[in-house]
Amino acid sequence: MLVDLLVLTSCCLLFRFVPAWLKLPGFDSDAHFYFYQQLKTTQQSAFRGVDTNIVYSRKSNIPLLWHWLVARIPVSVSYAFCSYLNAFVELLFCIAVYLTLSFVLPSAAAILIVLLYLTTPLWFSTLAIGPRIVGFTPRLSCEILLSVFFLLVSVGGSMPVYLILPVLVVLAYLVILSFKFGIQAIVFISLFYSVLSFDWLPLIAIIIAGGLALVFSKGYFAEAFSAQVKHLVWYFKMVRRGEGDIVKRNSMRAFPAYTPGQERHFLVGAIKSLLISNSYTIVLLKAPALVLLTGFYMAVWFTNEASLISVNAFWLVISASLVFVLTSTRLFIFLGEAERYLNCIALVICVELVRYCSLYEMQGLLLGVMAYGLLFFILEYIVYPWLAREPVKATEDNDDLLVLNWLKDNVRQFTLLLYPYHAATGLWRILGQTKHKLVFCFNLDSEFSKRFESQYGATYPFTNLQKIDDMADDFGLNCVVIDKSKLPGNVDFSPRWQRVDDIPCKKYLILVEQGI
Amino acid sequence: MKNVIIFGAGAAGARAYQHYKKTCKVMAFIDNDPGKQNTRLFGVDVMSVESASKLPVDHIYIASASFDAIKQQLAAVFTEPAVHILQVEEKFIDPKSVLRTGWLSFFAVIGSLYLVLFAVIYLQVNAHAG
Repeated sequence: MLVDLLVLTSCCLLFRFVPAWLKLPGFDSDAHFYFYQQLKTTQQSAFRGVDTNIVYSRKSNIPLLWHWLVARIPVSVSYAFCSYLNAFVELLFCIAVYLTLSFVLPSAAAILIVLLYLTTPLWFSTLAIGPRIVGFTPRLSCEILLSVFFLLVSVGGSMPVYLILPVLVVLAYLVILSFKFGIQAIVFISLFYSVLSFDWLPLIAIIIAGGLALVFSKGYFAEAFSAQVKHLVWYFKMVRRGEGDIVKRNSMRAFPAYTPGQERHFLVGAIKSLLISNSYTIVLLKAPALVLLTGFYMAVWFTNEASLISVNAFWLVISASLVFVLTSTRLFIFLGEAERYLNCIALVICVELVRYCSLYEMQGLLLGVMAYGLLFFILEYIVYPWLAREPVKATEDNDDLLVLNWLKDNVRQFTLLLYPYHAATGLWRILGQTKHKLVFCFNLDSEFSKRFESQYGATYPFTNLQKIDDMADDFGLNCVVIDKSKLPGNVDFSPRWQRVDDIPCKKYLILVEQGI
Repeated sequence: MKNVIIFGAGAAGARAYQHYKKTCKVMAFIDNDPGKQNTRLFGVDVMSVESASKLPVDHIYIASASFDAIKQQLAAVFTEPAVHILQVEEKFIDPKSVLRTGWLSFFAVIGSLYLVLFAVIYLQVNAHAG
């Protein structure tokens, strides 16, 4: 067992901690870290929303139970460590899964399940829209809880209801109060599963958890849920208008055309297209375990060995795959990256594949899948950066840090606009590390939100730069940081704005109001 | 921002325009079809080769499959060495080529690999069942 744990830890260090070390936390990660910091500082409840230093903002009413739980840890998570939090969570999760499975399965099977999970590219790759293991996001914890939830559903028939239902309720409770995406995933997959298998246990657990969440959060859950629905409606309308990066997902035209002499450019474009933009090719390339499991299901079916199919697990795989297919279509693409729904049954997939491989003495296939994972890892983290002419280890942009430090050192509290919102390390990191107020198009109080959208709004993540004088009059905007490469050619700044020249920064144009 | 002209005021030219307008100033379209000359496409003039030759231009993009012939025609009129005559990306001329060159090759390779693996699984399961 000790050797197994050593192998598992080494594998986790390679497949989880190394990517976390190589990549930087991004905009979303900074947002969650800021919410965590606010909760840690104010020691407030998870059910009151979180205050932000955004101009005319209301409390951000996202599910915050995860942030609140992390804030309960006696030691503060530093910004430097926040990239590693998810890798650390994953290590604990893998050890817990291995130890638990060792009680019910031979330890060789338990270690194979965990190693398969660790080496599957879908669960370690950072070539994705929202990386799973890098940064301070609740995404991984959500998927882990859902993986456990659905694994328990898959073995539910062999355990008494009075034992399994409370555990499912607790897991569902944690998921729906902690993660926006988690609510969608748990409801959609369970709904399909229950209808297909006539096993209503997960839906009952979700309904009880929802009721408890309403009572314990004193209605906050309903508020957060309603905000999530409104956000999805907004997103749906945006996608229907053809706006936002998500509309390019699964577009067949996204594949680059080959131009002689531009082989490197073509390869990088093709890799991005296959591994980031298209959910179907993502599954084929990053989740061989799921594809091979489908092969087993078909083979078992055609050879009249169907009695060997674990019915619950089979219907769970089918349900998650149906949700995946639906959310890959243009109509439902606004419901998030389709492959994330498959992440929620990660453990079921691994357990099932290891079970079939053991049953039919095909352990070589498992080793092949794991070797493929290792090859994928090397290609992604060593060969791809060379092809794309990117550094293997991402470093922070010097100009971004110059602006951040200038803002940190500034005695005066600015009302600041970033153009775009992720300029100069991004809005959330500046909010977290400085005292300035920032202008943002989300989280605004309802009256100001309408005014902002009609007068100052532009396509996200930009604001209408032509109106900065009006913004100065309206809500005291007195500093603007503009990424020069994004600056539209037709903007003239009035003499009201003075250029800041005392920091040696080439990337950004910084304007402050005269007289400050 | 470079001044560019797009040769071809058809579907390929329109696709190329949507792409190049983001980074370049599209001065005009050129088309050999007299029926299209002296009209406008996306608010941009469609001209003959001769009338377009007076425009200050950095690049001419040919949105047509007959690249060599058109390049010869243009080179005879645009004699300034600073004017570069280039072909637009293949996807603007024939969007379906993208499917042929990219997706089909991908699915052929990956599909074959998975089919082989499925066959191996089937044979093993069948042998076990037997």
